[in-house]
Amino acid sequence: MFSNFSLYQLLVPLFSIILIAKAVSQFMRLKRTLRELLVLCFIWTGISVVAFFPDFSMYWLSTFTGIKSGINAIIFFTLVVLVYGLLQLLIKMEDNERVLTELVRKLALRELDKK
Amino acid sequence: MKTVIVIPAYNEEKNIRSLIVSCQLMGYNDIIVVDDGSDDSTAETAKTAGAVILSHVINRGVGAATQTGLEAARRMGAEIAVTIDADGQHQAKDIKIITDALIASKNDIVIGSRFLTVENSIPRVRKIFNSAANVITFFLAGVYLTDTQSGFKAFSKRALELIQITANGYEFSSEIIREAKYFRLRIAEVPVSVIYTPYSLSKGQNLATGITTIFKLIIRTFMR
Repeated sequence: MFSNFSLYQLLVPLFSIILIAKAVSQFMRLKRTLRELLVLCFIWTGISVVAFFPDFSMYWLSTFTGIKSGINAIIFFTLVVLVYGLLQLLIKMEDNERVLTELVRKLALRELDKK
Repeated sequence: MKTVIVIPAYNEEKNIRSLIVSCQLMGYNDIIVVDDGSDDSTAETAKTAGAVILSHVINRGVGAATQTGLEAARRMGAEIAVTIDADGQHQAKDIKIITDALIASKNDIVIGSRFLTVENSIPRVRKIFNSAANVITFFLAGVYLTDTQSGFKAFSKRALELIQITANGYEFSSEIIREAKYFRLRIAEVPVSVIYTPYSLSKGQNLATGITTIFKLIIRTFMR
């Protein structure tokens, strides 16, 4: 059955499943919000479907977006994913900033404990 | 009731003494100044004026400094904590107005609003950014207030125990409202006077920080 598929058609969904499992694990450990989990599931499921059913996906995307060329639709959705990635990076940066602030704050509050 | 005044300050050596003294003259002697990594003598000046000084070793932003100050107020046994801007735009005489509103109506947070009175002369750009921030805060917290970005606030003991600010920058004001809504705290606004001088205008939010604040609020609203 799988002989008709290209290697990427199998690897991309496998990769997506691993990332979704990771996101679920993070959600269970309260390290991700439900909204983040749902967004990640939506994105990776979408990418898997596109990889697994390329012809159908291109036709559907072209119809849905009104973008006639399937390649343009891919570029469009790639941009969406990249923007999402950028926002995730910003949030990561913010998390790092928060850790730094915690450190600075604890040092400042030590002064109060000494008084 | 034990009221602790919290003043987050960054490079405010010119104004900090007069603000501390005016608070003391109003009868508030528990004053915490959080020196947010100032390059000037803010900490020394404030200490000489009689305030408790907490110093951030590096500048982390007004949100971070406010959270440090509120945490310190809680540890000092404050029943009410009042945050006030260090740039001299707020009046110490208005502290009583917001603390009275906190006590009388059993509110948990009272915000001193610059926009509830027509007598305040507020630059148009500030009005625009404040309106935008109010709308975003509405989507963030589900509550509409006239001055979500005011740095002049009073907190009850309960609010001090529950609210944790994680935002470093000016977006902390909206975060406080979101947290208050989450914990079902009672929020109210009272009109306060504000005096904008060229100095205070140079210290507060400007076009760049306003856009950054709104951008961060949007990210926090939709990506968290």
